Amino acid sequence: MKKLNPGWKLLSLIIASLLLSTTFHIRLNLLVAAACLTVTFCTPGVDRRRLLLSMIPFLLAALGMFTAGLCFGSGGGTEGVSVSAFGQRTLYASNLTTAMQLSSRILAYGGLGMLYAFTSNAFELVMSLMQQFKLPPKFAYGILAAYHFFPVVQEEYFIVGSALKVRGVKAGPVSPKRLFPMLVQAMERSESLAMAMESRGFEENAPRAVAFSVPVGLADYLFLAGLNGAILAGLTLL
Amino acid sequence: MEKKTNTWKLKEIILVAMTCIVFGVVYLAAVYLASFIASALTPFGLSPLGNELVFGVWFMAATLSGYILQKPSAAIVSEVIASVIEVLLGNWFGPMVIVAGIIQGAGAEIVFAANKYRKFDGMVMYFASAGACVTSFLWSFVRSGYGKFSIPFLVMLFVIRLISSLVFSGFICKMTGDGLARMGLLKGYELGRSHE
Amino acid sequence: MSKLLSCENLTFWYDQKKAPVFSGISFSVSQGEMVLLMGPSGCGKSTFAYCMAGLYPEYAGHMEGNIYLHGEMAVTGKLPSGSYGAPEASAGKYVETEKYPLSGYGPAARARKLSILFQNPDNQFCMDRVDHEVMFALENMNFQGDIRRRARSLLAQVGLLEEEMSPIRILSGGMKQKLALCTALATEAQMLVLDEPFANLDPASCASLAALLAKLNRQGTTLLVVDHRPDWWRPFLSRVVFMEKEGDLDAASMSPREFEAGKEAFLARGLFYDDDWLGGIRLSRRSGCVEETAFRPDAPGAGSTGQDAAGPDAAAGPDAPESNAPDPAGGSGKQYISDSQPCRKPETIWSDTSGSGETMVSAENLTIFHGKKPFMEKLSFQIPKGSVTALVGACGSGKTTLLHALAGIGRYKGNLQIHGRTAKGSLWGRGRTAKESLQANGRIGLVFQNPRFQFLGQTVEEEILMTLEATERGRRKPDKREMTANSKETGQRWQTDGTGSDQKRQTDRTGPGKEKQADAAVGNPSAQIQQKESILTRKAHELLAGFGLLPYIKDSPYALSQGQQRRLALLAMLVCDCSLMLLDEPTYAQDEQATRFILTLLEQQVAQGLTVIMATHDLALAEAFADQVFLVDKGNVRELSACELQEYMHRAMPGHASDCLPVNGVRNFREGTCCNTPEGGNAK
Repeated sequence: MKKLNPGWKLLSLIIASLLLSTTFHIRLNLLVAAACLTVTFCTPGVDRRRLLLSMIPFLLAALGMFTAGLCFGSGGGTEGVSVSAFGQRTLYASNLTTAMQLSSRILAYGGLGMLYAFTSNAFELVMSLMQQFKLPPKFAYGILAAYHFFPVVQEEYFIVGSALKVRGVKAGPVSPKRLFPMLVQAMERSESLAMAMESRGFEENAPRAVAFSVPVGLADYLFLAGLNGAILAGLTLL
Repeated sequence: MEKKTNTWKLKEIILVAMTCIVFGVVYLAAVYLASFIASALTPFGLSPLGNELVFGVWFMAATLSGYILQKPSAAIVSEVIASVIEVLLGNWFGPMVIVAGIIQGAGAEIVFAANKYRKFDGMVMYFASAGACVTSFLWSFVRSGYGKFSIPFLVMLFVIRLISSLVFSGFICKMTGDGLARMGLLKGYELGRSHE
Repeated sequence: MSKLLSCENLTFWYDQKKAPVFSGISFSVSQGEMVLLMGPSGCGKSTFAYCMAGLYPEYAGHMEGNIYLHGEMAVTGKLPSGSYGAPEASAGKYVETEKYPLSGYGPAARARKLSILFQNPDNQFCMDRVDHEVMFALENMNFQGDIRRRARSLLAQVGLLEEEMSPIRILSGGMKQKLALCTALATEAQMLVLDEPFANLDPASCASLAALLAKLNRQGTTLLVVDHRPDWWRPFLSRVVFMEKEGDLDAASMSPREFEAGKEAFLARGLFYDDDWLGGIRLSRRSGCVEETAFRPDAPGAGSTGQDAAGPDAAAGPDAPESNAPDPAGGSGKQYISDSQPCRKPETIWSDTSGSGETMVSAENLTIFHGKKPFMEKLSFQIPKGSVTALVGACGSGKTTLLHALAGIGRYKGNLQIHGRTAKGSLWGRGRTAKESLQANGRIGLVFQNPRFQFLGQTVEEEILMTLEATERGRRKPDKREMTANSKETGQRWQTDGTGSDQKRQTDRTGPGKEKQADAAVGNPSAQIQQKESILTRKAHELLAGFGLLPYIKDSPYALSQGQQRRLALLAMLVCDCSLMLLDEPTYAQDEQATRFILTLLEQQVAQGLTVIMATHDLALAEAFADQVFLVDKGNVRELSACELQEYMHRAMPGHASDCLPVNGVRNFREGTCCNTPEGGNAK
């Protein structure tokens, strides 16, 4: 899995997700989810513990959709569902189906997402976008540069939190009090980075050598065809 | 002296990307909070509300960038950059995030375009947030199958999402943009120039 | 020698409605030279460097005039004919070559001719790994051939080969600058422009970087360095040029031989060329005389046109320093003269300046956590009240973590007492209630390394007002006993204020009385509030004036320079009645004048009871200013005696020690004895 070209892998998975979103096929969704997760687990070099931890958010979301579907699904027709918290609720077969449909879809997406996230490298993705999908270098490197600062920005978020605490001020996670210093820093940083990149000779339309080439191979096309073919087959046959 | 051009300069791209990273960090914190709420609401079947509450934060990068740069394709390109960064960060939604990004960005972009990219006051900002909210909601029908929910529930979801969008990516973004411009930090960008 | 880069009649504005930063400048740099452009902070030298490097006006501002690059224009990407860098004519003969306007070069072509290194090592890199960054530069240059191998050979040249696979984030400042230098080498630039490259570095890195640059210069690379200290550059300097507001900069060039003679020229501009500037600080610390200071930006080094008038007055409070013999060299007129007075014995150098002998911070068996892991264990130390403590140690040794723990925002376990009260350091750092926080944090101030993270107000004025108001409100909290003690101290500390705040001081002093006053005012709340507001505003203005920030009261805090921001953050902390001030790298990226100013301010406060703990890598400063020095090293905190400090300094600043440290101990140490020769003078 890891050796596949990241850009094409992304494309394949997007198409797969789009295909899945056309109808509500419970069994197929679950199958896709299970298959993806199994493949991800079995891929060598994957941090399994982190994978399990990352599965929690979408499992919770799936559960949430499940209960939401139960309570508020529109499949019940004219018989409304009596909404009383912890109260008795008669489950209609159609509502259960709704719930299953919604949550299984979340699981499928989650599976596909995990498959991608854990078998791909950010750097290679950007390179692949630039080389195979003709993304202009200024976008590619700009995004990459900013992405590399993510841990620094995360630290800064906590520093700002500490600084505010030292002054005895409380601020929520999205409050402007936190945003301002971080954005100011982001602006300065973006200017410095742009200037630095230019002084290293970065120019948009100049010919450039390629140091990090990401190849495309037969395996990528096979994956694209195979995955989506299987899904199409599942949609029609299952 | 710099003039407003329609091509993207390197520093603008990096600025948008950096802003997305900042909002990405913020979003992580907000989502943490929201998932608590969502989990608490799960037994009542109201869990998606938790998600809707912080939905507005998704668009913040787009509206803020659109506000600061004020050029065509600002909103949509910044949403795409934001979603690519989300994918790079390993967001669990996976590759679909990019499609979602395009659609959400388009929502805001349409509003900016309708104003011929010349008017960028408060009302426009709110409309842009609303625009993004609408398109994203429509997309949710496709992606998450919102069509399966009962109408009252849908209305509730939409209203909450709309409020969240207006508050986060409308109000807070405008305030932040204005604050930054007032500090004289945006001299190189359109917003700063229009403030002088 | 042939010219490489020159400018004619250059004028630059950041904002065309205001005055230009400089106008009508002409300047030129010849091949193989090493030119040092000097000037105090804010004189526009960095702006000039950016213009010459071609970054401005693209990125900011408006420019008029011409900048030329001499020599063949690199159109195809091949190097100009002739070995690069070698002087094209014998010394003494001047050869005019073809010149092309700099604006005609695109970034790639320009990078082949000149490359710029920035002051802040952190925001220069777009990649995550060391080798990737160098390969990025090679990609930009469209390097044909084995990129990876070329990258490795370049890294070997700067001595970074072992760090080839390291993420850039974990590199020290010095290594980052070396990496930047490596990328400049990758572009095969003929000339390097360096903007204060050593501003944020520790001495060891400065030394190795300077050596590297000297080697490059010998091999023919031209260097244009912008800096406010010539120390590191002296060994291989060609000439010094002073930055002016207008005119021909070359005319006033000075060669190294002319330094001694031209000393006045340096001083007149507020520049120092050795550590003499610390002399005044050292003298005042030892003698306990505090200088009255007002910020006078045009009077360099005259921050100490001292009256010692503040000395006896300031000693009115119970915590004034005492029992130090007055300075025999005479108290007044303390210019930064060289340390011509006898070196005192070690016992008197580290004197106890707090008369009261009270302990401010007492730690026993402390474990400090960094994240979830214990970072430093079994720490025990004492810090007396009214003293200045310096924390020294290599980057990442834990100074910042320790400061954060003391301030209550880091996690720790163990016994920590601050001002006699046990500070609760719950394991998750979240155990305090809001009230506790206010009480505790109101008394401990922490100025971060990057002061801009602490700003809350929209304008400078608001920043101070907010804190004043919050402290006001804090004062009205029910803990009367603490309040009386608290307000007495602060009342005295701000004694040197003008009369405008008399009224406020009255209300400060009478703790319980204030409650009565507030109660009485219930009947007339709005008038009381208005009165209070205008009192506070006036007080804020006074404080800002004392810190030299009055001209900027309506500006945003982010619009100030770094030095000014640090002053503002410091003021905001001081205003909250703190009795313990923690400073993280206060001299980071500042020139002598600004540092001197802050130190004098701190001195005044210390004389009235403030306890200061500062983390710094400026060892000379620590030696001069601090009463005790702790070395933070390998998870341990250890107090250094005077001799040990000298040894540490000597080890850390190898090439620097001999001419620049005026303290005799070093020379004696090298001869095998330590700190006991009372010779006077500073023979250079």
